[in-house]
Amino acid sequence: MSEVILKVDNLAKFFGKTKVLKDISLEVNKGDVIAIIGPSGSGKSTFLRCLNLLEEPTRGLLSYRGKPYFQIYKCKDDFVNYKAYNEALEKYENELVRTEDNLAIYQNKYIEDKTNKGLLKYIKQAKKEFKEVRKHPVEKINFFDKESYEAAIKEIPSFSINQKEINKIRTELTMVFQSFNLFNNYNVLDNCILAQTKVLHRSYEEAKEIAIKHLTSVNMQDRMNYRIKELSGGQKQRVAIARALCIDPEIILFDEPTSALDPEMVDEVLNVMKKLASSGMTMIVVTHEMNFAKNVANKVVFMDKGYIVESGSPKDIFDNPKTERLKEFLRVEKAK
Amino acid sequence: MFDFGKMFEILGENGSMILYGTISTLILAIFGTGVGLLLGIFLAYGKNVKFKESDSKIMKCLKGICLVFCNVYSTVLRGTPMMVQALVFKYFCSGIGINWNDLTPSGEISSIFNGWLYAGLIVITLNTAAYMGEIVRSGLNGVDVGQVEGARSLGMSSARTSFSIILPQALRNALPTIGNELIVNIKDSSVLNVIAVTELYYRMVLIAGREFAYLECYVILAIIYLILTLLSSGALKLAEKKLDGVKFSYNPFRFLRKKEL
Repeated sequence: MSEVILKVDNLAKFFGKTKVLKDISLEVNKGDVIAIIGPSGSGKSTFLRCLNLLEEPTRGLLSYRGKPYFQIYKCKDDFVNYKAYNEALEKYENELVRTEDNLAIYQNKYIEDKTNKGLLKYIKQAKKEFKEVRKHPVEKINFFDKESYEAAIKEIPSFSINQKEINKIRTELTMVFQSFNLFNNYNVLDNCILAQTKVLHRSYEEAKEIAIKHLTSVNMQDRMNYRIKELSGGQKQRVAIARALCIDPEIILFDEPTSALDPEMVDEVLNVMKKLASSGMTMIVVTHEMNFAKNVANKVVFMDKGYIVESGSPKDIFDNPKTERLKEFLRVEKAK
Repeated sequence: MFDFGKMFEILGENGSMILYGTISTLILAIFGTGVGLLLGIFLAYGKNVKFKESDSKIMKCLKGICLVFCNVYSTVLRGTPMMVQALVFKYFCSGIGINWNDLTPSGEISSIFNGWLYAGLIVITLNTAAYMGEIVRSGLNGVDVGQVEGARSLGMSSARTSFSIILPQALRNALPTIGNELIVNIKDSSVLNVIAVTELYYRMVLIAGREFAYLECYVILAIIYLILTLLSSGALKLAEKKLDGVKFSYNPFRFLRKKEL
């Protein structure tokens, strides 16, 4: 039985009114390669960024090796009476439209016939009515159940760790980006060394040795003194993977690592990732490469509209999908 | 009219004075740009301060004061001529009883490092800092957000990210504009003659009055300024290439060389 190293419970992320992630739960075992697939805008990348707190989740429970590092069990939004709030909002908007129309009718009449001074009185009244309505907008706070929120908070206290511990978590859950994000002001070797000496406080010689080892494993050993802008896209992504490996992370999060590359370069990056997977590295990969998900991953998660629609072994997902949404998604992918 | 012989005569007779003036001008420009850049970096970070929801009230108050100070500083210093600033500074100092002349050391060195040069250094530095603040801020905002994310995902703290990743790139991007500011400072330090800073222009005016050869003197003055700006812009170009890791040659006639291949 392999141990669970990352546990995600009821993770949710709201950007204002839009809910990008809704109640995501996931367990990651050591050595797992999890592929997250799904259409664009389904919240895959946001989910990944929430895991290492590059994006702060609205609510949820994240724990690494049994130790929680983010815990907001219930957020304030959960205790807003949305039904009543929406009703009140609708009523308010209707009232606003009604009084404004009323005002406009009288004003138009007056423009047509300016001699009719009696209308002025009605205009004044309508204006006053309109302003009166606008003075009392519907506010969310009035529908917020403060008492039960505080009771819930007391039951399971929320906490988020301080910046220093977040930085520590990030060295365990490091990330490889779609747009590489290599440091443009350093060369390839220094890109790999910087985080080691500054974050992990290794000596320069030791860091250099480790950097060379990992650069060799991604087959970039002959370009160590190149500047970042002298590299091709595939080479950049390979360096980015080496840079991530250098700080000895427990899990590497790949955020669409091959989406910005052309087909030939995709292969060279995927080969590196396959090698990594076979060496037992734990990986979570957001990807559009269905073949990678099918052949390399041992668990596939299908996300849509902020939910995990279906998850299971690649065989289950690709050969006998259960939900209609996944069937459609796979049909479209196959047509490509 | 214009007398070449007279020009060289003036140069020969007043060589040391012109040299002292040139050195003063260079000190003013280089020190003003360098220290102004340092202050400008602080100013740029002060202007980039953002309010967060999680901040305490005291923190918000401090941030507000910082923002207001930085904005007022750069608005006032950029919105008034440096000549006026120098005069205000001079009479403010004499009003509160600081006499810059007292700071003049004795001996040969006083022909360059006198009290008014120190006053001039302060004025030009404060003035340059206001411009540098905007220059560095545009550089900072020009750095891709991905660079920050890349650094943070490796566990670097925000201070470390700023210092090792963002600031070097921002300064590299802003280098042409910073160099521009150096050239402007070489020329604009001449307005400091109003508070009796003995820089190049001030000395040349004295020489011109004594020799009674205005056109020749001012042509010499123009040529010296031109040489100074040419040299400094050349040095900046080299610095840019060096930072980019481009191989360069010091030979200005390299285009005459035949290519082997």
